[in-house]
Amino acid sequence: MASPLCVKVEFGGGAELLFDGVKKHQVTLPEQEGPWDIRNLLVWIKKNLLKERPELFIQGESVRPGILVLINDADWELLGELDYQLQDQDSILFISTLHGG
Amino acid sequence: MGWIRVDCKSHNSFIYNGPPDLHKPERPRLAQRPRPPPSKQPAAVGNAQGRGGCRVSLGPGAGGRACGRRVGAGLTSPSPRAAARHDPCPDLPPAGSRRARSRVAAAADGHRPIVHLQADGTAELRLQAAVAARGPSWRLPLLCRGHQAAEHRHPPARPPPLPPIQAGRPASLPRRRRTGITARPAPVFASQLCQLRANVILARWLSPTADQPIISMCQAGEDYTVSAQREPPPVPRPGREQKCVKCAEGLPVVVIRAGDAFCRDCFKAFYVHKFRAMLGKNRLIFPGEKVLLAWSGGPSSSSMVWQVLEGLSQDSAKRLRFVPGVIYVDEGAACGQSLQDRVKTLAEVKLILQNTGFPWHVVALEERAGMALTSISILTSWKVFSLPPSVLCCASQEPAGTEEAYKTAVDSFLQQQHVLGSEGCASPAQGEDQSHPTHSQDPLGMAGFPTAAQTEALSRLFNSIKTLTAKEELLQTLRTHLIVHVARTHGYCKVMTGESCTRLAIKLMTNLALGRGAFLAWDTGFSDERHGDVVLVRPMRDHTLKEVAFYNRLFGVPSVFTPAIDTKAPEKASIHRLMEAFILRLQTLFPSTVSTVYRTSEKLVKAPREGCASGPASPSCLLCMCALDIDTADSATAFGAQSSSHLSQMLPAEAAIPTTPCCGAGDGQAQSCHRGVGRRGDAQACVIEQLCYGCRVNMKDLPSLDPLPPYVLAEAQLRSQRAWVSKEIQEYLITDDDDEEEEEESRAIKQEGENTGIGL
Repeated sequence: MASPLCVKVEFGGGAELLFDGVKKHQVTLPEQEGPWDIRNLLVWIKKNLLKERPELFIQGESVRPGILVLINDADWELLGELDYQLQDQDSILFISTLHGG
Repeated sequence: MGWIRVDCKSHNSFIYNGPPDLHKPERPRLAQRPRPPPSKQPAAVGNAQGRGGCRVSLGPGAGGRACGRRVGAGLTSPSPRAAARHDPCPDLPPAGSRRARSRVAAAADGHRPIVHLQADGTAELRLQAAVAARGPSWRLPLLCRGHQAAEHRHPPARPPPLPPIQAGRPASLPRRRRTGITARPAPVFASQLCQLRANVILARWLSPTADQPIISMCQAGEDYTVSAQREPPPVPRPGREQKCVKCAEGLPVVVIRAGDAFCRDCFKAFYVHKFRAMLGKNRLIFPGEKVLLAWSGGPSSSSMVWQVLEGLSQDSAKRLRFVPGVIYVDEGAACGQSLQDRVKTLAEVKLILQNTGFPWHVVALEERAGMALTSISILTSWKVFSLPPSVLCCASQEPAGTEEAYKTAVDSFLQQQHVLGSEGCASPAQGEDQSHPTHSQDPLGMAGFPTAAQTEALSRLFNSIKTLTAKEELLQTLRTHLIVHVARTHGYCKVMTGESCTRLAIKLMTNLALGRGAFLAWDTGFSDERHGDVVLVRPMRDHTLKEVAFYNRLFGVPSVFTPAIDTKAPEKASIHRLMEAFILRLQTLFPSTVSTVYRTSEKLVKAPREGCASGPASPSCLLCMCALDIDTADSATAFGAQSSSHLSQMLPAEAAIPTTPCCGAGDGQAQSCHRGVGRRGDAQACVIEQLCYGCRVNMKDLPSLDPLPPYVLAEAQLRSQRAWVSKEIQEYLITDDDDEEEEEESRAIKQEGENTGIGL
């Protein structure tokens, strides 16, 4: 059983357009059976935060190619990508590189 | 049913066919097969027995069998078994003692065979129960003896070993596995193919209850590479416990390319170095030159402006030596933004521009006369939406400076700096002075804004375009024209755009799809000289979007998000979007995609323009300024027929509409030319025929060319008129032989021209 987690979810680079323009979200993830990892977080975001056009943010199980994920200002590739287990007070940042240049 | 079957690696014939030795193996059923004649046998195969057939070792009790000879890869149907005497395999228990009796399933787990493939091309067979108890095992050859001999004589060539690990990289890192496009296709040899097949066949030990093979295929010792893989092999993931690859001490924060983890400081050094190296390598920007930075507000151009800012403030040895200015083009009207949004965006933009300290220009794409917001209070009278046709003229320019010219320029500049001493140090301060805006009116007021009519005209133009692809292309063209014009007006000879590696890779593929393959070198190369006196330069072309985004985040580079024309567009809305999705998706599976496309684009060489050295330049496209690549006289091609039919469709529709005289907007020619250009169809035709293939394809998506900016239409008229006139007087032109005659003739022509009303 994972206790409720408080994490900070941020969006940048244009991804905030899909979330009503709000860049920073302080979210409390509810309790659930298994531990919270990025995979579950994405599902949760899709259900609760994403306002429109889910296919522009999530593709399959992971984020759309072109969207970078930073966990505590570090590349998520270094931390296991989807399998990283969230800790309390983590900061997850989604930057869309698809827009602008 | 428990059977195990081992085939010769090079041939499809079996070597061993039967259950493991615990039970009495059945004698394999073999059919008689006539031996093929010896002439078909390749010399390399060798023939140990000298009888024209390969000798195959079989399991106990079966004796030897001959396999069919096959040359090369043996992925054909198995040859019928031949009944010939074979020597028993020396590794297996002697044949005589055990004879195969019946197929008895070794269903119990303890009797499940485990197969280990060995490096020497044999397989070791052991029963599972026996593994722990160190029971007996058997080795089965995977090559029949004839081929064993052949391979021994001519071992198959292995792919060359990977280069040794470069100095500086800790040896504990996994070797970077090259996958995807850059992976050298592993040469596939017959023995390797058959090795694979042998593995597959060995794995077909099925338990009576399950469908799946339960043999664990331990491939210890096998180091062959198989190119036919369904899924791309996973890239080895660097973990957090690893150290930075460069300094080997810092905690890594970002992964660049495939597997290189950098710490924060090394990443910054790497990033800055790439930028400086790109500028330094190409040696196009001379010291003291005025360079215009095209800033769109997006991450890459913001990063570029930031790099220039930092580069100028460094100590003198490494300082960048050019004089920058910044331009921002407001495209809100083309994207359908409301006025309030545009005002809000402009406020943010101006804040950032003022902080840079460079002279800046904010220009709206459709702006009216005189209201360009610049930091220098010059009321420029040029009209963006009706720019003068000279925008589309490629001014003649001297050939690019050689290496020596660059070196001498740098040396003289440094000398100057030295001599001037304190004055040289004050040059950044000059930039400060210039940045104090001396607006004559309130910059945010409506007076400084384009009028509603111009905005409406631009919106009308973009709304009339049918496809998003054509919209994006036209937007890009108009933006480039505007930037070049501003650069010319204010004396900038270079323009820097912030296109990143990823964007250029996408652009390269998109342009191929759009029919601009002939101009890839100009569109994606480092420098783009098609506008003549103003050269477009792309210093960010070595940085991927990921690096740019990380740098901006880690080092706080300010940027402004503005929705563009393709924001939130679905994936298949335009060719650009489709190609972007394709490349990015490929990049996640094969991390070297973008860099490979980039390296390919580096190799593209620009074809020299004909006639640029002397005489008039060869005709260039009206919109994109590239050399016209269409042979207009050739109407026999399908394209020629298509475009002429397209034009003829447009002509009848426009016949009834009255038009203005075509030459009215030209260079002060009061007389109208003789051509029947009263009909708009001709005007459209004369625009179309001056476009290159890619631009023509784009223009097909415009139902009518009237909403195009007037400067485009005017220039088109001018050019076609000139072409017609020069064709008319061609016969009267005299060559250089006789000067006097020529003078007289030219005078006569002028007279004639005035008389008949042809403007010259």
